[in-house]
Amino acid sequence: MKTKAGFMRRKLGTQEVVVAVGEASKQFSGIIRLNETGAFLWDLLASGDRTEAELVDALLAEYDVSRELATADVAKFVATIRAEGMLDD
Amino acid sequence: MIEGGIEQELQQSGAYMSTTVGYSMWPMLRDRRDTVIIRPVTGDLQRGDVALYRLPKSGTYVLHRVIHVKEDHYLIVGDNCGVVETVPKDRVFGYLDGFYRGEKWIAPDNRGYALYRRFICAVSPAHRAWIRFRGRALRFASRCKRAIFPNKSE
Repeated sequence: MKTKAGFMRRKLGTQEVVVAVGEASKQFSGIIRLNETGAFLWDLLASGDRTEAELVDALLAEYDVSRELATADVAKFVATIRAEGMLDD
Repeated sequence: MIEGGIEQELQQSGAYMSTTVGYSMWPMLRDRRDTVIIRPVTGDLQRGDVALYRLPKSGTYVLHRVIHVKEDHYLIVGDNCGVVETVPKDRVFGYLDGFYRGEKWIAPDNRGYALYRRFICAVSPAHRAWIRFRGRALRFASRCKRAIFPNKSE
């Protein structure tokens, strides 16, 4: 899976957000706010095709968290952006 | 124009970001290509600022430029529009505080943007006259075309 074309990460003050441009903005007109790990995962999905297992491994390599917590965080993040139609499976 | 529930977001977060829709602020903002950052209004806007307000009848959000500041209202016009709107100050609730033109961040104090802002305000009367003339010329050409080729649909 990877992020769909037309969804871009932007800086809103000190926050990271995702907005839609082009055709994607016809389906999604709001913003999604990303925390630090959300921005990290977003960048991975924007840079290429990844599985949830790869995202979990990347999170473990970058942050000092347990595999259980990383797995739960990735699953929640993926579910959120999938629900907003931002993922190409 | 902008889609979404902006007043609430501005109150809660102090800032709002959205992709612009339409051509009224072209060439600065392009339809569905550029994203703007809006901040809540705390005082009077200045000539050249870009104001966010809602049309009273339709409720549509409009993001257009202030060209004159009066005592209780602004005269506002889109950079690509020929008609000036009179907007009471209390109807303006946000202002443009920078934008992404494609991938490029344009801060409010960006030198190029400051020049553009001064230029567009300075040429505003002539620019509006040109836009109105262009609109009339295009409508006239369209009528001529339909008169000459009545069976062809536009």
